[in-house]
Amino acid sequence: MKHVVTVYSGEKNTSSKGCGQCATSCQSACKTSCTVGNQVCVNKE
Amino acid sequence: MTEGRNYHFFSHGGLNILLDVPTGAVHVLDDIAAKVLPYFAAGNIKDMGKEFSSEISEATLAWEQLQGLADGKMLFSPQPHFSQRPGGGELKALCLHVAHDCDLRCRYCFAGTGAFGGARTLMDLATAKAAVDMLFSSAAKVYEIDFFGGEPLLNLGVVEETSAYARQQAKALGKKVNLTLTTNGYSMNQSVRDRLVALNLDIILSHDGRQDVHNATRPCPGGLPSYQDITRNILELVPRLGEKYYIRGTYTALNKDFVQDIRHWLDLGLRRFSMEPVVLPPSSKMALTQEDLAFLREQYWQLAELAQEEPFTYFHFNLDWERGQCGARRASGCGACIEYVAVDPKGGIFPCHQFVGEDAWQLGTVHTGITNKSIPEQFLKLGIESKPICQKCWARFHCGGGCHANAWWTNSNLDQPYDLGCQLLKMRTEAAIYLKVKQALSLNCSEGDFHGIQKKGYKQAQ
Repeated sequence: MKHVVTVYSGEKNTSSKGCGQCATSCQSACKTSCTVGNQVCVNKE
Repeated sequence: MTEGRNYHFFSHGGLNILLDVPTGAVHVLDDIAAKVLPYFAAGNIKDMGKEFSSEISEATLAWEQLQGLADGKMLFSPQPHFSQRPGGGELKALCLHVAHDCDLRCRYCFAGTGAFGGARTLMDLATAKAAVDMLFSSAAKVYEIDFFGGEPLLNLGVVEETSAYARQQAKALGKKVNLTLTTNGYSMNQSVRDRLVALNLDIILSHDGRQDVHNATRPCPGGLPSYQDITRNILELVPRLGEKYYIRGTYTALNKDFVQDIRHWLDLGLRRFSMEPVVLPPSSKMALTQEDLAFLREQYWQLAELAQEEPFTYFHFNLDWERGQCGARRASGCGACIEYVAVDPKGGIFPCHQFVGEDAWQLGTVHTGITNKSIPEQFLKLGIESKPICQKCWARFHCGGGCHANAWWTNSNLDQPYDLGCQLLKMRTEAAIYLKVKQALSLNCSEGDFHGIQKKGYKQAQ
């Protein structure tokens, strides 16, 4: 019996140095509640 | 909630959700696996046997499946370290304060109703162009400029000319520039709307929801109501913008039931928004407090349920697991002072819009460049690895260490995040993950089915 379901297997490339082409946190819809979890990478398809 | 060993576990709506913090991997556990988890995390199989005497075979199976996650680096994965900012930390974004004046008198305004503690004034075109030149002198490939204030529509001519100049210069340099404008929408008559549409900007429109709430928080000078004019202007503009807009609301102690304000937006046909907690000193009647947190948690859960009933885009529920930002970006967090600066109407440079007007935080001017190097040196060190509290927090890769300005203005310490904001972010992030899990499960298998997920992007633990 399955007791565990993986919904998302995670970002494996956590050691990436990053390209820096993404928007900064404050250039988001909120402006006063900085976040990085709700923005996307511009170079991932 | 259980924290430790780089994982976070929570239950809501009949789902037991397990997050591997460093990788962001998300798993759903049945009740047996949820009970096994603390024993597994402690490596205590002996005591597990005592609790599961009658179900020991299934508990052992759950243990093995959790072990499979760990072996596959989807659970208890090691904490990565990042020695530099993504892209080397080039300046790439400007908050351009084209107007230190405003036609509203919002009661929670951090900007002193638009003047930032100084004179009510507008930026001239030469200063705006110099700011653009400063930005474009960095080695970044993609630039962002937000026309901000005060109220930027009070200086729309400069916005138009600066937009044209920025686009022209970016084209000549073979680079890209994205333009946004943040407005209260009050002076956005037909002519202004036409000009905004022609500018082809991304527009952030401030609005607080229900009429009584909005009028209480965002009045005109003299206390006159602004809801009707602003709502009409927004509803006239939004259909012409496609997806190039966000409604930006603020909730305060006056509307802790902020989901009702979001329902109001939906009734108006507005489908893209963000609703943010106000940040005010505890002495303010509009400030949120620790005592509000339980109620606000329920609001975020309600919002997650609403998101399953009606189509809308709430910025902070946007977790794109396939296209999310890289670890280096997540670890460095807010780009203030390094990748992002604010420029006031006189050309003064500040770490971000929330430091504008504070002489001690001025970095230089658009004409001299950054001359006060000690300030960027402080900000360059900031990130989740520099903040002791963040090292222990499961949400650190979702916030990147939080808002530096809020940390400073509440604790006088850039390394000590604003605690109430952290707690609200964690609630919101749990709701976002829960919603994402619900959506993923509904795409792939029937409710309660732990046997069928194999669709792209979602896979069953082996």
